[in-house]
Amino acid sequence: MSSDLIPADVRARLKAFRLQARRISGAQGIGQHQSRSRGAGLEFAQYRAYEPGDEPRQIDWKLYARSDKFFVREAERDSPLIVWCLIDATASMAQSDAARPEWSRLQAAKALTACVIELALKQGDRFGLIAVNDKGLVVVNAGSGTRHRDQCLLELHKLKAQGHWPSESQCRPIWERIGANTLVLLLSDDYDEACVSLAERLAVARREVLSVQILTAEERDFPFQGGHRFRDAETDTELLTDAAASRAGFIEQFSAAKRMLAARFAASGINHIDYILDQPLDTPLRKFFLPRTSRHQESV
Amino acid sequence: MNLALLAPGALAALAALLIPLLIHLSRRSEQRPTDFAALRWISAQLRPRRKLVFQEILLLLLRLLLLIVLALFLAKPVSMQTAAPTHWTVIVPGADIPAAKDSTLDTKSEWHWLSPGFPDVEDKPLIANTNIGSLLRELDAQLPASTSLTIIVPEHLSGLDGERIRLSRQVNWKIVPGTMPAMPTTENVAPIRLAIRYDDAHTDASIYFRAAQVAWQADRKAAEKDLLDAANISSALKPDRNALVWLAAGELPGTIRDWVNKGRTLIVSKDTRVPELASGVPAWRNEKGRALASVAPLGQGRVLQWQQDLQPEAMPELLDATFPSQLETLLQPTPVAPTLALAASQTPLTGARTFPEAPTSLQTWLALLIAILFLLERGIANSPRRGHAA
Repeated sequence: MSSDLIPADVRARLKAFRLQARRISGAQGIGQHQSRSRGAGLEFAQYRAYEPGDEPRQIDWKLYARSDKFFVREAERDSPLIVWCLIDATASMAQSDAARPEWSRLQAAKALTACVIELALKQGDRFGLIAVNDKGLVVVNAGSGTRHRDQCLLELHKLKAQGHWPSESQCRPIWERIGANTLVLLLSDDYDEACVSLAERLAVARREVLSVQILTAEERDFPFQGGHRFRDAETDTELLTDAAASRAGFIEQFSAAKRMLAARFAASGINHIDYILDQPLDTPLRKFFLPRTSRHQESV
Repeated sequence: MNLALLAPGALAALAALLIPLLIHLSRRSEQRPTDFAALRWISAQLRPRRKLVFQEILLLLLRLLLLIVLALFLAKPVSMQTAAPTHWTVIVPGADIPAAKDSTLDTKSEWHWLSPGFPDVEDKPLIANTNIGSLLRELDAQLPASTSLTIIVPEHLSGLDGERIRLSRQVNWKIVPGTMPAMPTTENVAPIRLAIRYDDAHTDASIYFRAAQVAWQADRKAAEKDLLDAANISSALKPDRNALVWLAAGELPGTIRDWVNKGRTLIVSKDTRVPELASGVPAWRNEKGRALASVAPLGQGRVLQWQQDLQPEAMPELLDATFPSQLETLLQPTPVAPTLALAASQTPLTGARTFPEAPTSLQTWLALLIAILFLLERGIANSPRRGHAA
């Protein structure tokens, strides 16, 4: 495994992207995102009556000239965003295509996480990392700065796909860490019902959830021939079947399941996209993080 | 070209063709599970159809071909090739080559020396030990029946043997001036100077040899005449003797053995023990076919032994008038047969047996083919385009 998770061409394209949240960020501090807190800034919010202790330079002297009262001009303060990358690290994430065995789902999830961390670092946003399986959650608290990025990357490199989706009680740190009005990027294959329902509940509880369903090209095309023995790594069940005969049925049912999942996420207000392993890595980033203006230019 | 197999039983090795067929049967995907997390959407529990599907057809065909060629190689294929009619001209060493070239206008002919190995006419022939009769018979047996043969011989031949040259084909016997280099012939052998040694028990037997020795002197020249030398075994041998009659029971003394070793001839009585004679061959048989004497080499000399008691009752030939000359023939080395003749008198006869042509083996070419196929197979099997090794 190369030390850099992000391929060079994707890294070159990263500067076009910008982390954006639909919700107003609730984090404290100076950042680039809209916030609910008022204070010094560029964007005008309101006037309010002078109170003792306000800085005299915040007083709008022109308004005082008209009204003979002290008014303090308040602006919206731009706040930093908190981005959480929620990585599914169950055993099914180890699956990869036969054509490219080293490029597993988990590897793609790590690379996407690394991309998002780079974007957040560039914008001065705070970022955190949670990897989920029942062997123990890997949690890196939200933070900022290059040291924090390196810590996240270190945890990413150590990450292995194993085990199942954890129980509800094991998932509690997720709720404890991920606060409201934060951006959550869920990287999973979305095969675990618990994972999907967690995403739904996070979205309902005022977290902005972006979901990337990582699929292999084999799951899309089902290119198998002849008799084939399939194994599910998580449940350890095996199925011997004639691949060519079951292709049509599989593709139909699988796309139906995908449509249903998309409908569920859409109903919860989750921005959902699927990423197939033979696509360029920045395909989901392009969907989520391309600024509106340049996205418009691209479509023209 | 007719192909034949010398060991067709080796074609049983073709059963090995089953091995690559089994290897390439696409059932390995059933044995090796594929990780597939979207398993729950594969609905139909369809049994895999038992359809014979082979994977990597090119590699399979290559492997089958390799095995077929290998089995053919084991079956020893030969080709019964009937060559196009050709013409050979052989020159007997000693023939005048310019004269030989003039005597024939056929330039398409292959020119060779009649010499062991039949070297090309540009090379030097081996002259020593040229037995042209034997060489012609060998050449006749080697050449295909369709090859016509011209033999260019010098006027005087040497190195002939007792058999008249008889070949399977009609040859063109061309005589040109010249003489074959003469073979070194042995000098006339020295007359036998016989010594007779006997013990007391064989005194009676010794008289036949005395008589024979005396009888020889009658038709010898005065210079070659020889005195009778018969004595008891204790008396020493004179140095000029070259043959000895030893009539004594028991082991042959070492001094006598050493003497025979230097190229002399010894004839011993039946009760003398000489170990070398265990492997002796009969040297003289009478009319009834009974072996009277046997002979074996001893060093550079020869040792003979009487196979009968030396009494007229056991061996009537002792009293025969021809006994002295028979004894002389026994003791004298074989005379050299005449080997010189005029070429004109030695025109080969025809009617000898023809030999079937030796088939040419194709194994070398097959081995080459096997090596090429094997390298190809390994190259394809290990090519990086293949996902997995098989």
